[in-house]
Amino acid sequence: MELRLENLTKIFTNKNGQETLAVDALDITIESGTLVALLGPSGCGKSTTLFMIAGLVKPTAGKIFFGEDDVTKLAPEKRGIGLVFQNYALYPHMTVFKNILFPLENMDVPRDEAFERVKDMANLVGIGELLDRKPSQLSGGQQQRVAIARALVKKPRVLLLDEPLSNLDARLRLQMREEIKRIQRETGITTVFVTHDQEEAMSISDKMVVLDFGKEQQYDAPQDMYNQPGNLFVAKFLGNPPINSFEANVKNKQLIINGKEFMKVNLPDGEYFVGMRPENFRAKSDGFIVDIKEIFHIGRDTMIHFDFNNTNIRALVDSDSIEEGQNKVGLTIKPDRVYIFDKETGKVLNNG
Amino acid sequence: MDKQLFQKSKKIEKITFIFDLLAIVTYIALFLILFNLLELPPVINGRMNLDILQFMTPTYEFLGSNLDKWQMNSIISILVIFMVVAVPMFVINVKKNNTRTIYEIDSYVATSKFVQAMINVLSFNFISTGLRIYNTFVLIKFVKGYNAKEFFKSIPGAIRAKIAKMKEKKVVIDEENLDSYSASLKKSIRRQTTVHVFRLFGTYLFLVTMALIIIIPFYWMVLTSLKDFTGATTNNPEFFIGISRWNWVNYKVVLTALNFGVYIKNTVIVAVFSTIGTIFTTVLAAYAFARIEFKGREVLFSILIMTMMIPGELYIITNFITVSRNGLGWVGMPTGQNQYFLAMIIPFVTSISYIFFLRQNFKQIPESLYKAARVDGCSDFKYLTRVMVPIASPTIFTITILNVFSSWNAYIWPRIITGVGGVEGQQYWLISNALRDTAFVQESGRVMYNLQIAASALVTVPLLIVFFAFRKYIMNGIGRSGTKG
Repeated sequence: MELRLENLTKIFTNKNGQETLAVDALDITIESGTLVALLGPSGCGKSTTLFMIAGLVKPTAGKIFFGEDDVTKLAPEKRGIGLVFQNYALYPHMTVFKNILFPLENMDVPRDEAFERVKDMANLVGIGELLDRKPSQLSGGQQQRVAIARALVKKPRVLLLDEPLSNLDARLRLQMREEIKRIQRETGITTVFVTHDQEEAMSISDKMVVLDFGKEQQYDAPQDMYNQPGNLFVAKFLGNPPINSFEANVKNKQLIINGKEFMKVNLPDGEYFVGMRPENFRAKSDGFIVDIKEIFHIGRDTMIHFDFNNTNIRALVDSDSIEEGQNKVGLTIKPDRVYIFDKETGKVLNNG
Repeated sequence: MDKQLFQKSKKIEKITFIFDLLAIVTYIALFLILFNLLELPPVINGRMNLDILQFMTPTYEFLGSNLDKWQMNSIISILVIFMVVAVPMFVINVKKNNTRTIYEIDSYVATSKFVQAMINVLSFNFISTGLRIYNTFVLIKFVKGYNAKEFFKSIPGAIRAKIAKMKEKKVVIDEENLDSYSASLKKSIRRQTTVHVFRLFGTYLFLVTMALIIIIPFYWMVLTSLKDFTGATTNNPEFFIGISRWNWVNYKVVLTALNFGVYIKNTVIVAVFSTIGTIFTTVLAAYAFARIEFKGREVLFSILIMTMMIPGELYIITNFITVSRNGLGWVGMPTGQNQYFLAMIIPFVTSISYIFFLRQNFKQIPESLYKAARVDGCSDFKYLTRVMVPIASPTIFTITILNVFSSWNAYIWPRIITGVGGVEGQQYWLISNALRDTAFVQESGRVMYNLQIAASALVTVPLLIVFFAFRKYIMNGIGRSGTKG
């Protein structure tokens, strides 16, 4: 089922009357059956957006549509959503079985059917043998599966996940990522996934939304967003090691770096922000010559530090292309991997 | 580790519990029958002549044999001792049997089973004895792998080995030949051991002294309550008296002739209803203050907390006016129209400090649980009953016990309420008032101290039992709330 947010806005007012704009006029359409990640730094309003979709937080303005229905004013339990919390929020005094059964109990599902559904769901998420344990007797990964089972057992129209992997260790996180993807594929349910971890978001989602200060920055498929960032924030937020950004002038349609002409650009003269990802550099003898400040060999790749317009720049190049004791290197980069941003608005000017 | 043997031992123990329980029920039934048989002094002019209580020598016929006063006393005393030993032992055993895992079984467990079997012999519970001894051998088989036969055979060998070990001479190290470092090491180890032994001795001496200081008044209370009037008031009181001189009839006099049975019933009624009321209001109020957002919540809560600073004595008079003839008219009305229980219960069906205590507890329950419940389609009230209350149940249990304690100990308010209305009011006395105001004085001018003490013992002992059974929760409650107790 399609999920549509129209001009969704949330303003929190504290006791002193101070207003905080948490979510700023969000317009997003999430296609049926896709997994969309809401990505952003902490405090950017992604959880608030999720809770507004869930109905736990009332929006200040805007509308939420599930398919054709306006659900903005609908109570959470009537929306047909499943929600998984960051800390799982399992009822500690109930067994796993009762935890999963609890939503069905509230929906007055007949006893036999409810038991059947709980068992099916437990098998789907792989906790069929743990049904009579208490949550405190489970590992983090198992608790998380219980939380997902509890969210899915209602057969919700939308599944909402609020940073569900952040309490797990690194290996389990990778495993659960695949697991969530698998469950989502199997059930074909429209899913919204909140995370601050860009790698997690990029690997799991069909599409992702990057938010900053409650504002939508870009909404695209992960790889497209990585290759064609819409603005400086998105470019800086995605990628590890982070993108190099520095100020540079354009004169006579030429980008000037370190006083030399670097490449041709089709932009008026002036000052711009330039972004180049470290891994997009290639070492070539006929390239742009720079003085190497430092070299770090990290196995397959080599990290070179040098200066562009007095800003420290990192480049990740093939280890074979750099020789020991080399203090100058020629670098090239594909023109469509150089991002030039407007200094005022941060919008990308040459790509996308 | 033979799991089957472990399971078998557990099963045998479970069967033993049935017979233990049967024995306890029999003791209690016998005690009640004999206690009912005890003869009271005659009533003259509507007053029981308690002066002659200690000089009466009634004989009782029981199961075809004639028992004199002393024999009767002995039998009841033995029954009481049985109960005092058997009931806690039973409770502890059941608890242990449920929680003990296969890894906790060692030879001490087998030995303690044998000791329990011996205690069963002393209390004429021969079926349990047999089962426990059988269980001991099962456990020996489990721990050591011996059969009963092999076990008995192994005993002389084990004793011999122990004696040989004791006879073995200690190897004396010639300290002269040690270098200075080893010598100093030896010296410091010796000093450490000495200090440790002395400290341990000191600690236990202190603990034993303190325990005696606490226990002796209780012991003295129970002892005096069982003495006859002369024994209780003599200048050279005895510290030990034989079981044939434990006068259980004192308790019967207190319960029937002095009406303490009625007073205990009154107290239980007031305690139960005021506790139910308190829990009900406290849970609802605490939930509102902890979870529900409404205007003026913080202000209202501050006002409630502020009322805790007003001493209870201050509003006694206004409360009294509220319930008396000019207010609700529960007391001070003509005979037959008074509602003493209402007047004693209703003012105490809520407690600010418990609301505060429970609210803090509710606040610790993560907010996300509430959100999860909302998404799961759970109403506020259902969330309270299905999620909050079960999670906070230890706290609620603590509140229950503390509230029962405080209503059991309540004095001023019940005294004022039941002080109105003369004889009618007296029928609604609670035990604390009764202890203070019952006339233990005889026409001859004697104060029946032994009966007075028996009455206090009757009031204190239930509280002590509750305290020992639930002390974990009580300490928890007092420690965390910092109020009441």
